[in-house]
Amino acid sequence: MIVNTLRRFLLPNLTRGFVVRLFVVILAAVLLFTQVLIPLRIDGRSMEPSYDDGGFNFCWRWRYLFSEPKHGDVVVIRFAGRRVMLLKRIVALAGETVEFRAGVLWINGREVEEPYVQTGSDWRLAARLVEPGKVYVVGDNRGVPMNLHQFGQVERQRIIGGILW
Amino acid sequence: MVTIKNTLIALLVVIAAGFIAVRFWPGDERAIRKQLALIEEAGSKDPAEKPVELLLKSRQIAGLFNDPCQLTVEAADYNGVFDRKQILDRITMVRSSFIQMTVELYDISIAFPEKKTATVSLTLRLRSFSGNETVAEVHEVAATLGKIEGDWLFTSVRIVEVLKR
Repeated sequence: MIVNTLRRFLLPNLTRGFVVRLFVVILAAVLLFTQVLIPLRIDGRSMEPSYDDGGFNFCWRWRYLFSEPKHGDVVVIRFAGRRVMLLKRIVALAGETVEFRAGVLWINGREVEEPYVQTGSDWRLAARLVEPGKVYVVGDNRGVPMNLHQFGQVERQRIIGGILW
Repeated sequence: MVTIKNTLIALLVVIAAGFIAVRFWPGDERAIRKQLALIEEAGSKDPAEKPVELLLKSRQIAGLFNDPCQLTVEAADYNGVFDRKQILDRITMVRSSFIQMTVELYDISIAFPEKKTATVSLTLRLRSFSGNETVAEVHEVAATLGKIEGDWLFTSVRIVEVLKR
């Protein structure tokens, strides 16, 4: 009986019901993994140690369906499409000033404690205002030279979701 | 006899034929994709690349640009018009300053707003190694191409500023 069940599972008869079920499963999988949970392979060290190079995760597209991004959120940023995206952490919102003094982040003139940053840093960046409709994002790995790290203010519309875990 | 099996086979054949027709049918979009593939191939550099090869590949890339071509780098607030010789010199200079280089283009979308004019949007991923440091950058590129004497050539290239420091 087990053999028969297994045979039916692995080599099913092409009945109308099976074809319909197969179509529904494929359609549901395509919709789920293109519109709701986009699989991500992390390539790069800019978010270490929170997210390691070579790691796997999902972009949760409905993360900001009923809420707005906030400080500390790790977000997925798109470029021309969704094949290559950036993973960064929001450190400041529109209307706030961002500054780095000897590697320490300052928001609105106040020092910010960042437990997710584990590496020492010498970054220096003069204070700047985050423009309306934008958020300021930075990677967690501040051990790399500032000129080699992609960070800055990005349009809210470019954030396509949050990281799942 | 019309069976589910036959219907499925016929459906698969139609899908495969459609895919082949779209993928391999000669046309303007295919010609532009070929040019972009050449940028990926000739832009990438192997550590064992010889100086003659460096020059030949740089020439191949420079040959894809109209003479003159407008280049804009939003992050540097730079906008200029370059002739093909200047473009060739810059490409050669950049390629020779790295031991190894990988150029990858993703999320390519091509539109034809007018006859003999195409707009291209893509994500450029650049990874290079100069001997003491590895650089990994991602940029959004918006370009315009014109069909000039039968060839699709870049008439303007703009590096979009996604993250503004």
